[in-house]
Amino acid sequence: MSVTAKTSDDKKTVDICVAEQFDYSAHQSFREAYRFVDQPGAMFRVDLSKATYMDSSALGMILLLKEHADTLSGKVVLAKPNPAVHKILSIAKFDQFVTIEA
Amino acid sequence: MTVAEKLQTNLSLVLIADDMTLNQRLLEKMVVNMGLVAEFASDGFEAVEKYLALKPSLILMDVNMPGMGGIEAARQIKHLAADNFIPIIFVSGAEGQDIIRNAIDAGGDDFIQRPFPFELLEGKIVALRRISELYQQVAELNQIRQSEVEVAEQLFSGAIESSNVGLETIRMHKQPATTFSGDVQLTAYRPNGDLNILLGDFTGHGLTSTLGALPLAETFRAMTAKGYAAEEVIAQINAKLYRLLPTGLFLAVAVVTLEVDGTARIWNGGLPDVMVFSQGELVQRVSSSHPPLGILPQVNELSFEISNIQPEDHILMISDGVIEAENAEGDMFGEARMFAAITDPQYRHKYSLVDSILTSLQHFVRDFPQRDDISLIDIPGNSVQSERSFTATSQLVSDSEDSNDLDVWDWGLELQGRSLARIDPVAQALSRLQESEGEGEHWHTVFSILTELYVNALDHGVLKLESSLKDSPEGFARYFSEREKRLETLSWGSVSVHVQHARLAAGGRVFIRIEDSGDGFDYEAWLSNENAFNIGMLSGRGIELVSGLCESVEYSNHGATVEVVYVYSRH
Repeated sequence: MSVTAKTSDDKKTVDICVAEQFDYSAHQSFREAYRFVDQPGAMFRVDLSKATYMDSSALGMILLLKEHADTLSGKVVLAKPNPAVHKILSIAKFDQFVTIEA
Repeated sequence: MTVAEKLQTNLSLVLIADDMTLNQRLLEKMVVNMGLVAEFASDGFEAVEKYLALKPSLILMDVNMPGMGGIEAARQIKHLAADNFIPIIFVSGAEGQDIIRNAIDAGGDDFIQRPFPFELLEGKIVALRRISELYQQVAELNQIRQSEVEVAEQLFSGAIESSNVGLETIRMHKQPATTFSGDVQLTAYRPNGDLNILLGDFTGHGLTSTLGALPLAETFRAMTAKGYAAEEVIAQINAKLYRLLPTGLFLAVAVVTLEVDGTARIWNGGLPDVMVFSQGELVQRVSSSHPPLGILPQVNELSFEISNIQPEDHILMISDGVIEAENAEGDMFGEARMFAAITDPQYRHKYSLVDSILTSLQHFVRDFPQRDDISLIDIPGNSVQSERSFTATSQLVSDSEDSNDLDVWDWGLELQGRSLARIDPVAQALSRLQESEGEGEHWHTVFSILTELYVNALDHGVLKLESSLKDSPEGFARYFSEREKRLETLSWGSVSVHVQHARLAAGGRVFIRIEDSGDGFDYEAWLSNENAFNIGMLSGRGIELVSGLCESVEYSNHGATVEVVYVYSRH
């Protein structure tokens, strides 16, 4: 499984952990990880610590997640990107509209 | 093989390969009972020959035959059939697991051991013919799909990239990961000869990622041709892609405007750094300063970096497919290897910038399959030449104005305060002229005249920038940053633009008056200094250019008002 997800008991926080290669192959499982979460104000935390590579379709998946979170007035946090992944996020200037935590 | 050729398969014909006449007769009876027609071969060689000559729809193959046996014959027939499906059923009296395994390994589709009831063979033949039909349908669909992709590809490259300009000097390289590339490379001239160059990389690759390419190219070309600056082109592309593309699809893009005077304005939204090389050394990097286009409903403030490019300098744009190209060991090509290739003296004297990188890249990845599109654009500093668009109209049109034939219109716009930073009156004037008087080469010249005069009025009249600042390369950059700063805080001043067009017998006359709220300048002293043009000053070239293009140039109101007349002929 390229993506694992854990939803907190109050269903308000979803921890999504992606695998080493965060690319199109994760598309389906990444979507499954959040699509049934409909708690208003939900917080989605994407743990990137395992990812060593991320491509532009992964950026697209994050935008889809953000769109989902926005409809719930929720929040997306990208956590612990390694330097290579951080570089991809910063080239795309995702820091301008998504929170990135070290 | 085309669909038509496939259909030549003789659907009712079954080839029976057996060296025993008795067996041939027995199988023939069964086949004929099913309403099919039988043909015969007595050994493997004959089976191969008859397969090629008769194109049967099924083969019943004996295993042991003199000369070439059934297993070898099956292997050859399957090889010859290539993408076509020819079902082969082995029929044998011989026993043993090995024979069955060898028969299937050689490409046989089924195996039946003698003796057997008629129903068993009948069932197998019916089942295999069903698979055959499915196979054919898939092959046909695939062929239709393939030809559609080819047509789309032709349309795509024809519509989008064949209109690129400046390719005498600019070197573009594109290596798609699939037939369709998510990378788009575009170039177009503004009417004054400035060159806009765009490298875009849509999310992913293949057919879906190119959906946005047509509207992208259309917007880029149309707006550049109308003379809009890169800021406005980028904002418009973003608005269009935001509306058109589904969430998750977006465009990482960099735009370079190479101006006629050698100024390069570079903007990067999501691509690897755009690089400027001077004498083989990296002298400037322009990093991404904005999210890719199509994500945000509106663009944030666009920060351009400005660079003074010498004719022998190079600007290099790349897509991330270059840096992220992988070899069999899973290593990425990376920036370090790219720079090493560019500065490698061994390459440098032998290859161009793009070829140095490609040679090194090829060496690195070898045969490992390419995962992402690879794009490179090398823009040499000599890619724009001021002579290109300035074909000053000769005075073919004499003053043959007939007052009975009066055909004149006026257009004007006055900008005050902050609107000066926001509205581009030159593009508006141009589109009025084009809408009312049709397309024509001469508008390029009018664009240059209007731009020079308007920029003078705004920069010197309203913003009070000293043109002498531009005399040195450092001052050059300072001039532009100062200009940007003053524009941002602008809340006073005005510039009015007035355009009058009169139709003449074989062309037209354009009268332009531009007035600014500034103090003017000592134009008389300036005009009398004839040598001002010849001492290589970076300033003053604008007025020189305008004088060369117009019938007349007159300053009044202490230099705060300028009136020019331009005459063109229609061909």
